Amino acid sequence: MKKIELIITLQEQVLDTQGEALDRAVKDFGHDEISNIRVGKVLYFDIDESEPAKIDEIVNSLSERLFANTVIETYEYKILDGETV
Amino acid sequence: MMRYAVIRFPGSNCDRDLYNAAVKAGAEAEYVDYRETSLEGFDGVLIPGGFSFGDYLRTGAMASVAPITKAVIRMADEGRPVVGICNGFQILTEIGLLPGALIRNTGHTFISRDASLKIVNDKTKFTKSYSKDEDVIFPIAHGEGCYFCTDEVYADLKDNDQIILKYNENPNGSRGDIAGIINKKGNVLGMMPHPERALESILGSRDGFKLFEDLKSWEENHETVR
Repeated sequence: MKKIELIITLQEQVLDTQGEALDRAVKDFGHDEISNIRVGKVLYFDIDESEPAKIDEIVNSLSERLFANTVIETYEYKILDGETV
Repeated sequence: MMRYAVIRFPGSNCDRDLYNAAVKAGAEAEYVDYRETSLEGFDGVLIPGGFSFGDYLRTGAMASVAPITKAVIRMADEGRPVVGICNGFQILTEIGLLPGALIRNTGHTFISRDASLKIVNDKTKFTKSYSKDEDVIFPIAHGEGCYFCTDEVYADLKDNDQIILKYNENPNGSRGDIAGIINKKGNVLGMMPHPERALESILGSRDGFKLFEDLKSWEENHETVR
């Protein structure tokens, strides 16, 4: 059993209105050193599989089919250290 | 007589308006639950607006993998009319029956008001009763109605006359003012504005009625697909 962290973000060229609003809010706090905020989402799940190639196949297939909309989003995942029970 | 399935997902909220519009125009309509797997006996599909599955994950994402979806795809493949309005449009892009995607309005707010639109293609089976460049008023009510697509897809849409409805004043940042498109084959229509809420002059606009008349007479006016 492995734990997966899947991060989904809007593609670079897709306008992120949430990110823009946060950008403005952060500037209102006086933090001019912060810019280009992008908001995404993260999914955590367990997978009853240990072979990396198999995990890659399953995670990619589900990401393309449901978790992400590849017309507007990109995704990346990592296998978290430590086995879950 | 054209018989339409009005698909009901948890969170659909324009289903009754859509049913009413189809029946009022003289077609037959029946509600179909999203857990069904067959659309046998129907000539077309209407996917209503709303917030299917609470917009979980992305608008239309959960509905795009609901049990009924395979039957909707089959109908589209068979060349029968499939219409998605508002959330229905979002669902059709998520399924992949229409290109592009609907993202958050550039102003980040939910917009609910009448919109002035232009019929840019009157040669489709859905817009036969309209004339080219005719201005119509349909209400809009959406937070994620900004049509997004790549340069390649946009060129394709233009080359194939797939853009059928445009905003006269772009409310949401949609590429090329796009409010509604059809697929290449011309039997799948997706649009953000609500023609089913524009059926009575006394309520502001009757401009949507002709679209449902065209749906009613889909087979009479055109080569039968069966």
